Amino acid sequence: MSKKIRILIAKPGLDGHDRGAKVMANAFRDSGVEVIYTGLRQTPLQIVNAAIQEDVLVIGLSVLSGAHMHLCKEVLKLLKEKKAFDINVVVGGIIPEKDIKELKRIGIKSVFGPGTFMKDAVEFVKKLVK
Amino acid sequence: MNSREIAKTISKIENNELKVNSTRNYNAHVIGITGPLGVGKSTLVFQIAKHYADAGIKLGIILNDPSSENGGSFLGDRIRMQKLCEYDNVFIRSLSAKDSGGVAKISGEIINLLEEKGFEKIIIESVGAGQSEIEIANIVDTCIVVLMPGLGDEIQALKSGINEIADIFVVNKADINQAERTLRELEMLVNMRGKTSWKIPIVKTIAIKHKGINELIEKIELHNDYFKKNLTQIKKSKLRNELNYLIKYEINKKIDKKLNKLIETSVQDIINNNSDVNNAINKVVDKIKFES
Ligand SMILES: Nc1nc2c(ncn2[C@@H]2O[C@H](COP(=O)(O)OP(=O)(O)OP(=O)(O)O)[C@@H](O)[C@H]2O)c(=O)[nH]1
Ligand SMILES: [Mg+2]
Repeated sequence: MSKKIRILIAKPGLDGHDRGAKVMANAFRDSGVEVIYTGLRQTPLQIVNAAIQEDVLVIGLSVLSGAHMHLCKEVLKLLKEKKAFDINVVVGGIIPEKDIKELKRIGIKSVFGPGTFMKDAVEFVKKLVK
Repeated sequence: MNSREIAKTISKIENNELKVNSTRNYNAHVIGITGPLGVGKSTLVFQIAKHYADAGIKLGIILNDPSSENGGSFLGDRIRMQKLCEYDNVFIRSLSAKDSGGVAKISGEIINLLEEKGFEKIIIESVGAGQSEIEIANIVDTCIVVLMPGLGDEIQALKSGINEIADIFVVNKADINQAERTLRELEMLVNMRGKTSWKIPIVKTIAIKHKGINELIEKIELHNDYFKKNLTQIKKSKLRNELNYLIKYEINKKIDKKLNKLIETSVQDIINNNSDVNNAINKVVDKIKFES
């Protein structure tokens, strides 16, 4: 039996749409991944604590609100504080080109825009296991 | 509390890399929540948990959701627990349950681990399968069976099963029609048991509005007292059931493949008029050697 891949998908921020996050979650599930879905309007602290307790390999943040910079910085900071910086963070959502570079610089592993095929996102995450 | 360490240990148990001590020390109080799909189990877990968490009790929560055929799963119970994620004294873990019984097979081991780590209350939610939720009762101290109005047939179907496993009945969603009827049906069910040392209480709740929660907590604590007082006796019967389940599980796993082949042969024999059902059964049972 191969090791389970567990990921956590959260939708931080104030806007109330989690369709994108759910599409992402279902694609991962269909590829044999265990997805812990934590729902809407999560604070960075809730997300990081949940990720630690669930011992996930990856946190997938779905952000649409434009607050991605702030949210990602906060999540990464908390991961560092709690000595869990080895948990990979990826972001899905509408992110301007210039911000993608900056996000990767501060430690976000990958950014999946609306044009990304879910297949690619799944492949990317599966590669992280190795 | 070092959440990281506990979380990693649980993963090792899940991946079969570690076996933990598999006997309880009964320092913790383990509460199980079971019942059909969507009756409000997670919402109730949240309300009960919040009560204990606010009181500063060290609390572990285990959430079971079903896994899909390919091994993947969408574990969504945690959506209802968001507010508990900021408590330092609360640890929550989601599990995918592919085995029957309503809880992942390693749930028992995780309970033991959390108990050993000093958790005072442990709450476990089963998958809402509606059937075969019997196993959860063997591994918890207080088993709460949640139902909601309008499940008439379900109550009929579950009659034998849930009556055995429930320590407390909850009729949740009491804000919708026919709550009184469900309540009455359950009362009849409980009265059918005759005189027992623990009379199963029935609690009406509206979990989303925090209605009835205090009364439910009161019953949970009463049952804990009863449980602890009768520990030696109850422990024995739970252990008996638990062993019965786990041993059969292992035996089934062992003979399943063999059995399929033997059944195929029997079907052919019967179709070809070389045997009949009774004959075939005897032959198969004789062929399986249980001594090994
Ligand atoms: N009207 C009403 N709705 C409720 C009540 N409690 C929970 N719900 C709703 O019922 C739905 C299911 O609630 P959950 O707590 O997820 O139920 P569950 O039994 O854990 O569901 P599964 O784990 O999927 O089996 C949600 O939309 C809740 O908001 C209640 O007291 N009244
Ligand atoms: Mg649930």
